[in-house]
Amino acid sequence: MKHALLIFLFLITGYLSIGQSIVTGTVTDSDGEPLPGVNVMIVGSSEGAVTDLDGNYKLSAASDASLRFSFIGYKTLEFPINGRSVIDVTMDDDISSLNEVVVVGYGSQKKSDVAGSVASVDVDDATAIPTTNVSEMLRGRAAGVQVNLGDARPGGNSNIVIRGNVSVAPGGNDPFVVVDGVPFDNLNDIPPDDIASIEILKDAASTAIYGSRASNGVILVTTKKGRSGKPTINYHGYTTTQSVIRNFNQYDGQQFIDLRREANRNRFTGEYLNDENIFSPFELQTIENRQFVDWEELVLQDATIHSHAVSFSGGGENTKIFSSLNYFDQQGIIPNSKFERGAFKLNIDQKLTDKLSLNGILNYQISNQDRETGGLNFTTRSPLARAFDDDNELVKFYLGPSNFNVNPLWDQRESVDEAKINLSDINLNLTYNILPNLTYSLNTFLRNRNTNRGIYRTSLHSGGDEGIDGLGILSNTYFRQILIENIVNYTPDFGDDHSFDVTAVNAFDQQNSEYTQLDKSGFTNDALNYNGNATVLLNNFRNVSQRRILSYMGRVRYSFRDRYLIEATARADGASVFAENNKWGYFPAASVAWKMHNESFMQGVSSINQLKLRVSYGATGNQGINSLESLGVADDLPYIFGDQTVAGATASSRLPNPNLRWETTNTLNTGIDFSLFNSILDGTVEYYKANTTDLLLDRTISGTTGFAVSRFNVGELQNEGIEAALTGYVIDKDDIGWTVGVMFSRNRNKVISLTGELDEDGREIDIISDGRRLSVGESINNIWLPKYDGIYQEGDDIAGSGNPLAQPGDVRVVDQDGNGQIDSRDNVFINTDPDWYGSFTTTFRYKNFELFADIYTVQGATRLNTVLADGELWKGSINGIRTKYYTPEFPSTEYPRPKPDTHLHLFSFAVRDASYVRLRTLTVSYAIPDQAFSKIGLKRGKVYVTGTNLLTFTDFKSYSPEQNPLNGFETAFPETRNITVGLKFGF
Amino acid sequence: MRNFIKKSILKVHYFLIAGLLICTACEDEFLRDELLSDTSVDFLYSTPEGLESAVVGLYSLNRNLHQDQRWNGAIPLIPQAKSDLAVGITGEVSLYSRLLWGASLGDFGTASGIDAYWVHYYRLIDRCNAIIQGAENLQDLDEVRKNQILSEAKVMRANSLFTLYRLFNNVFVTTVPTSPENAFEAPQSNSSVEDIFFLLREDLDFAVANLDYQTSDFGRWTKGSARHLRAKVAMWEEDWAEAASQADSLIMSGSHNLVGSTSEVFAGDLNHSETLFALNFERETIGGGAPHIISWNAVSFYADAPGLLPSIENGGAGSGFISLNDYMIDLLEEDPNDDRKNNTYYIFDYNYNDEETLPAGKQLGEPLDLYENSETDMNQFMLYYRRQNPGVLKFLDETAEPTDRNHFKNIMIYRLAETYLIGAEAHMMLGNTGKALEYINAVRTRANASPVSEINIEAILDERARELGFEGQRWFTLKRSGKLYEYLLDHMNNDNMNESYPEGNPKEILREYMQNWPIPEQQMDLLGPNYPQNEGYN
Repeated sequence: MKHALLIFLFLITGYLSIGQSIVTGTVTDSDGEPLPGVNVMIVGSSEGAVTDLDGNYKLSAASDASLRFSFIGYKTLEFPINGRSVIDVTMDDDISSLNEVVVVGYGSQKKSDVAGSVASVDVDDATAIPTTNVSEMLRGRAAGVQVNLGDARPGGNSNIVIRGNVSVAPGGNDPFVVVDGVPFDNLNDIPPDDIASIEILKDAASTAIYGSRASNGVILVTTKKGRSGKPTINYHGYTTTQSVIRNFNQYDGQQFIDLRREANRNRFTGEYLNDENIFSPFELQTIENRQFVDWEELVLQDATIHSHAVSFSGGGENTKIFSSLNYFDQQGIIPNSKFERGAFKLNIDQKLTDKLSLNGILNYQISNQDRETGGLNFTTRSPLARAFDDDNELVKFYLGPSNFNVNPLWDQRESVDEAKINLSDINLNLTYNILPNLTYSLNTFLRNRNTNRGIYRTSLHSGGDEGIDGLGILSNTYFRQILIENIVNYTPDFGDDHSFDVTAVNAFDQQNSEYTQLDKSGFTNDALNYNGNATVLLNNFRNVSQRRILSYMGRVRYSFRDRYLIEATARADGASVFAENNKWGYFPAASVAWKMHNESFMQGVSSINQLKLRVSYGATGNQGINSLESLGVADDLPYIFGDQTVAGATASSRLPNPNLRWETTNTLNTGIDFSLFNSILDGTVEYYKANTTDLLLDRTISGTTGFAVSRFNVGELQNEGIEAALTGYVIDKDDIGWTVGVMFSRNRNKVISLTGELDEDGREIDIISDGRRLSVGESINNIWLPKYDGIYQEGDDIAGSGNPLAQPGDVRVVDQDGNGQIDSRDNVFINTDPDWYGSFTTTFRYKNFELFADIYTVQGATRLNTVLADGELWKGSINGIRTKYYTPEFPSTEYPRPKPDTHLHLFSFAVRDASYVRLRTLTVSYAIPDQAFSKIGLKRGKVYVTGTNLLTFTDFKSYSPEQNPLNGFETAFPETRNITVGLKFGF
Repeated sequence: MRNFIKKSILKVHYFLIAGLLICTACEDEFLRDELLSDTSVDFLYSTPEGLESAVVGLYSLNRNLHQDQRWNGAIPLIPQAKSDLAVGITGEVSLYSRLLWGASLGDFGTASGIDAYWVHYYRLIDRCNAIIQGAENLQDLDEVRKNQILSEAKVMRANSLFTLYRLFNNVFVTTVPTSPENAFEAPQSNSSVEDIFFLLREDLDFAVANLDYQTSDFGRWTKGSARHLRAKVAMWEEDWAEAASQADSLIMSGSHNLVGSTSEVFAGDLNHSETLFALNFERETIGGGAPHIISWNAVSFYADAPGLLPSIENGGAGSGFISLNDYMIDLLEEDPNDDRKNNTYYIFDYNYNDEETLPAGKQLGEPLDLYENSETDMNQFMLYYRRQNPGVLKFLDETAEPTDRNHFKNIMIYRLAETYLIGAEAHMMLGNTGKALEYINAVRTRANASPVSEINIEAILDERARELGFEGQRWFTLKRSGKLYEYLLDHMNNDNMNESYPEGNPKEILREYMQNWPIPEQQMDLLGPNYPQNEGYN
């Protein structure tokens, strides 16, 4: 219909007489507000005008010409002049995704023209959670993007894996983060309120433009820019209460006593040992007084977050400015931990001459991160303890004077751990329009981050007592990044049927890091903590590293009649981390797409608004290894002869590989994008297969060599998956709307080949790499253990089983080879990757109210629960996850019998399903009508309440289904349930 | 604003120039990976200074095993735990005594602690190889300096290889340092005993010829320690004459003497005439290493008993994980005047020192005697073992806080008393009973024990137990003399403990093949497909 109208208009204009005339008018939005900055172009020429602050424009045009009105975020309109001298235009918001513009590498594109795999993240939904952890904001927001909780502490981070692990290299699976055209080493350095859009590039055709670091996908973040027109000021503030969540119980005092007694029961007679034998005198006293300690309650407390963000946007014809101030303050639920950040941003667009324009972005951030004392554990500590004495003062040795374990609250009190981070970025982009269709830009970026950390353990702290007289650890990390890019863009005109877009880039990227650490002790007093004078230098470290990348790349896009799209990219990257003669890698990619709905034969199919098929294939490289791995490095190993320190060194246990080269991932991507039934249902379904070759494997070397590992390029890894994202606009009326979104992702990770060396049975031998066992046909994320087979019961044929010495109540595992003993030949692979993960979101609005809910799920994931695997738990010597354990009177088939020694095969037993379903976000918001505020000049007011992590359904016993309760010996910082109240308004 | 833009433009010019320069700069140079704060291996093994620093690195590496605190510090005590003098009471180290760990292929103790020995000593051998090859290839290295470097590296290599061979039997040895080119040439079979001993003799003979008895750097290998090790190698080969001659030379050298009394042997930093080789530690000092918790493992948890507080006089921090078994206690009590049990080598009495919790009827300074090592009542004997059983003082850091288990005591590895006992055994085998008696009685009389007038292998083994117990030699000595299986069956742990273990009595689990440690499976996987596992493990 629309097309028919246009053709009709063209026909009419063709017959009209020719002559120049002045045309003026005002452009407004659907609310009647003037729209500045709208492009008004004379169709078929490069002439035109831009609307001013009041939405007015004026230009001279042939009276038979047509005017095209375009503005990002609005539907483009075209009107024939028809001899008129005043043409006022009302532009409607472009809500149809068909014409959405998405940011792609080195440019932007209409979403409908994208031939690769690019997912846009709904920023409003994403930033609904109160955190500085931007990675968490992407969870469930785009198909194929898996987010794994890294560290739940204030200022913590999460890991993003796009379409599975393509690499086993240490930095080999992090996506490449590009913010406003420049690479960021940390996604969390962006204040969420500054984010305008997030795009995720997933296939090789989309990411090839970033070649060298893009094999794990690219996250493109664009921050807000200034808009000319009336200055606007926006404020967003919220406050959040955080409280601990966990789905397990610990043993209380009496239960813990029972557990210990049960563990020490004689296996042969069933008699209990005397309490005197199994409890210390101190413990006996606590039992007698019935004074038990709930450590979690003592340590944790509800904590708050405050966030304030103010932004300013405005500008005139030649200058546009966006500036923001953000303040974020999060107290941790573990006292002594917090994260505080102040951020300032200035983004200036300045037109210098007709042909020359400059964009400058400045970021300045100051953050403070405080951490609790190291080794803080309130999960597995014995409740038979005393935290406070009769005067309510903290007790140092909480298990009595003869036990040297130190009260965690004591160490908390005696500990300081502060990191101060200064970040400054300067990003300058100079664009020169050599010809209307030829531009050159120079993009430069300089980042400095200085992290100053001071740790102090006072002379009373268990790390600073006993003659140490206070321990101070001072460290400083200086990080600098320089990026320089020369970009040429050319869009030759070959008539209406053809559209060309050529981009060439030369880029240089350098990252330097300098680390200094001093460990000192013997402080005269504790008053000045780590700033005080020490008398002993315990240790000093210095680590300086540098990595550089030099790149050349080119891209051609061609589309024919807006139906057939072809794109080809080629890139050459040189990376310093590789061996001398293997620095360079070459990464080509190509994609084609067919916009079927633009074909004439599809015009009659009214139920299909859009149907696009696309295929891409290409290569990307991975250089996610540390520098120096191709060079021989020595470890510093000083020794002391008599009283004299003498410098010593030895070759490190990492054997260098002088032949290290690029790891390459070849990705095939096919997708279908559709919009059906008057755009009520939009969706994308994709299939991909990514094969990584020359894996940068850290290979374990035989102990007989004297080395432990060496990095190798060997083998092949495959990730194959399907993704679907569907959005249904079920109801879309002025007063009422209901949207439902579903995301589904499934990835299969599989080792295709390794070294090619065969074992006795002709199978390719497995490789141990970075603690993983790699085996052909298996996922790289696996657990390799005997298979758990329940608990031995009375009457079982124990003598004929794999563990003839076992007793009823012991853990049973499968004796795969039936040889009557359990060893590594009985191990099996258990895939820990989820079968699938996805999210369900829904937004319901009625008048000014809106309800948003986000449910996230991971299914089929497996994790080894380290607390259940701890033999000490089953001995009753530590607390932990409470279970209904086996006793001769009540034999459990699920949990083993407590015993005085470490159970065999507890690791197999502790392999647990870690699937979960979680109501991540539930937000109710109310948009305050502008008239309610107009007298005091406020606009765009909105209040909301958000609940985060409200409900979780999982069998995995922990503080988070994505994390073990313990991280080493200390409690992993617990995830929290949050209630947030927020307010937004503008001037 | 304008000012800012002006400045920005200046900045852009700067970058523009930089950008253009880079385009034309030599790319290879530009992408070079450099060592900016690390020492290069090339320097280490191809310059005299580098080689000397690499030799120091050997001592530091060699110390690592003893400061390993994983599994509550069990690793450095595995040979002691597996000997016939110890009773494993609790903690990880006791699992080795009980053969629950480290006695089969599949168990965790093999994959962890046993593997640590394999990796540790092979790493040392490779670094010695690199130094020896580097020194031999260096043209203009002064001969004296070169021989010093070579000698120290060769003793370290011999010590490592000798240890590996005695533990793992089927070992592979090469003198070629590992390089990226040869690292994956997995050994297909073990080296022959002849090859191993040829290398041991060659290395040690070279060191004996080139090292001095005296060193200004206490802790380095010397002629004395090289001779001692050479004697031990000879004993293993049953070359009694060579062993006797090395022992005689060392004892007669005048550079080393037994210290006057047993209380001096383990006092202070061990820098005295009896010490042949010790590992050096120093608190809060660069190069001083990380603390060890050996003493904590081997002194009882007396502080849990009423009337006792932790004190250095009582042995400092103790957990009572491993201790002297009844056999060992009986040996020490054989001669009532033997002073090795009188808080010199071992502590038999933990004395009341806390008035506040003193049990009724006890006096401060009296020995703790609340518990009884009952033959059958577990309620009794468990408390006895944890709190009252004698302990070992050979690793006690007298300067540590009594509540601190982290000790920086230097650790005795070889000392002249063992040379005497080697000499006694070698001379006995050669029929020189007089000399044998002279040597064994030198050790006995120093301990205030009455001299013996008859000598046989049992007497020597008993004397070695008393004198050298828990210093890490016992297991090897029994294996060498072919008595390991028999002695373990007779003495290992204590029977009341043995019978209380739910997994079974270790004496019933023990097999003769266990005199060779299992080569951990993860190591077997990295060796050639036909590399032989030690017999019995499958």
